[in-house]
Amino acid sequence: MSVLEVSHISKSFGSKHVLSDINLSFDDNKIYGLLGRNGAGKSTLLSIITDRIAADSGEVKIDSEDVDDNDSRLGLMYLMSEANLYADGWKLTQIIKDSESLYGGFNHELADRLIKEFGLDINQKFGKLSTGYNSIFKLILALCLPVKYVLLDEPVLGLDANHRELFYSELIQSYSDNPRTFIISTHLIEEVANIISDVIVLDQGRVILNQPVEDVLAKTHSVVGPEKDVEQYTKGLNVIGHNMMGTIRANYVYGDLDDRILPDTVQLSNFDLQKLFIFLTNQYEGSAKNEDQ
Amino acid sequence: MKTNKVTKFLFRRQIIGLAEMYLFLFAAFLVLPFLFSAISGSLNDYSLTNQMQGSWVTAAFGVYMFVISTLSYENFKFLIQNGISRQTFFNAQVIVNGFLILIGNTFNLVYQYAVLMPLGHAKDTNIFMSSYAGYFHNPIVAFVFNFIFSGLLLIVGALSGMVIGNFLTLFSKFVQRIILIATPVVGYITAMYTASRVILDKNFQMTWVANFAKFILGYRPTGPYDPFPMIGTMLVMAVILLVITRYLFSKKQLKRE
Repeated sequence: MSVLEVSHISKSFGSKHVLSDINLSFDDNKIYGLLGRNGAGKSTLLSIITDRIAADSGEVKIDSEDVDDNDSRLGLMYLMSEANLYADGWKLTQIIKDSESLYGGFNHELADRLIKEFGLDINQKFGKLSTGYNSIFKLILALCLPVKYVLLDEPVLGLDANHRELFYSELIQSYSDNPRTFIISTHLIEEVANIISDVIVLDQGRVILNQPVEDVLAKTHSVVGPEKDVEQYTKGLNVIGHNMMGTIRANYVYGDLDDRILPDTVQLSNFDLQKLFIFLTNQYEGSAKNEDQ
Repeated sequence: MKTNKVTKFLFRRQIIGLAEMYLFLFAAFLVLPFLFSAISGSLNDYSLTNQMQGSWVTAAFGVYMFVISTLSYENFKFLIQNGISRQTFFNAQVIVNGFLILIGNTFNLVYQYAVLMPLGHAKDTNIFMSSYAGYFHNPIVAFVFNFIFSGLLLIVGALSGMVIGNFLTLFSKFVQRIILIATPVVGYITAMYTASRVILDKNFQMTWVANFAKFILGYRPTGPYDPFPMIGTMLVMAVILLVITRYLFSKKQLKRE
C-alpha cells in the first residue's frame, strides 16, 4: 500500500503566509477533492508536493521516502495544472514521446481513444492549442502516463460543458480500469461532488476539513421551520450558517445531532458539499478575525 | 536515477540546435554572399576560399555552447513536469555539454588543421596556436595540448554560461532585466574609474594585477607563452564553476508567471 504524506508544510511568498503547517495523508486508490477559495493555497500545495517549488519547512514523502530531488518518487506523480511547462514550439506527438520515455510508459490505446473523442489535432504545436484543448492535451497525458498519483489542478479550465462531462466520465472509467490516487483541486464543487471519495478543504493556508465525503455529508443537517422553533432546536449545536425566508428560518448544522426531540413544525434534511464549503470557509474567516481580536 | 534518459533527451535537443546553427551560418556566410554576387554580376569577386577562412566557423561553436548553457529554464520546466529531479538534470546537462564539447572541439581542430591552415597558409588559427604552440617542439604534442587547451576554454565558457543562466533563473523576469542592464553599466563605470585612476594617480598602479595576469597567461619575456599556468587556472575555474552550477541547480524553482 502506497501513501503520500505531507508533514508540517509551510510556505510564504514575501510577507504573505500561503500555507501554515499542513499535514495530510493520501491513501492508495482514492479520489480526493482539494477544495478552497481563490488564494487558499491549493496550487501552491500541489506544486510543493511535486517538488516544483520548495516549502519553507516540512516534508513530502511517498512510502516514507522524501520526494525532494528523488526521481523514483517524483516519477510516481503527474501534476496537470494551468502552468504551461511545455514549450510552445514543441509538437504534441514529440511531447508524448518524450514524456513516455521519461516516465517509462504510456497508454497509447487510451490516448488514441481520448484524442478521437475530444477531437484533438495531435499534429499541432503546443503553443497553437486553444485554452480548452491545452487543458484536454494535459488531461490526456495525466490519464495515460503510468503514475500512482494523478494531481489535477483546475482540470476543466476552458472546457465547454460537453467536454467537461466527457472528461468526468473518462476519469471514472480510467479509475475503474486502473485504480490509482487522484487529487483534484477545483472550484467546481458540484461537478466533482459525486466523483470524490474524500474531501479536503483549505482555507487561508490551513486544512479545515479532511474526511470521507460520506462521513462529511452525514454530518450536514439543514433545520427548517419557524424561526423560534429552529433556534430552540439548534441551540448548542454547531450552526455554521443560516437563511431567512420571511418568517421561515433555515439553520445549517455541521456535526452529530444528539437525541433531542424534533418539533413537528421543523424539517430536517442533509445539505450538499458546496453549501458546506461556502459556510465553512465563511465561518472560518469570522473565526480567524475573532481570534485576531 | 534517470540520467541516461534525460541525457538522451537533452542531447537530441541540443545537437539539433547545433546543426541548425551551422546550417544557418553556412547559409549566411557562404550561400548568401554567393547569391548576392551572382545577382549583382560580380561573381568573379566571390571566393569560396576567402569565405571559408573566416574565424566564424570555429568561433560559432564557443558562442553556441555559451548561449545554450545560459538557457536551462525551458528544459527544467519540462523535466520537473515529468518527475525528473534537479540532481539528475544537472548530471545529464554536464554529460551532454561534455559530449558536445568533445564533438565541437574535434570539429574545430580538424577544420583548423585541414581547412584553415592549408587555405590560409597561417598557423595562428586560435589562441593556443598564436601564443602557446611554439612552447612545444614536437607538433604532435602541440596538437594534443591544443586539443586540451581549446577544450578547457570551451568547458570554462560553457560553465560560465551555466552559472550566469542559472543565477538569472532564480529571479523574476523584471529583476533579470534589471540585472542584465545594471551589470554592464556598473562594469563600464568600474573599468573607466579604474583606468582613470591608473592614468591619473601615480600611487594607484595596481602592478599586482598586471603581474598576476602575466602569471596566469604564462607570459615570458622571450619566446612563446607557457601554457601550463593557464591550463591549471582553467582547471581550477572549471571545478569552482561546476560547484557553483550544482548549487544553483539545486535552487531552481518554477516561477509564478
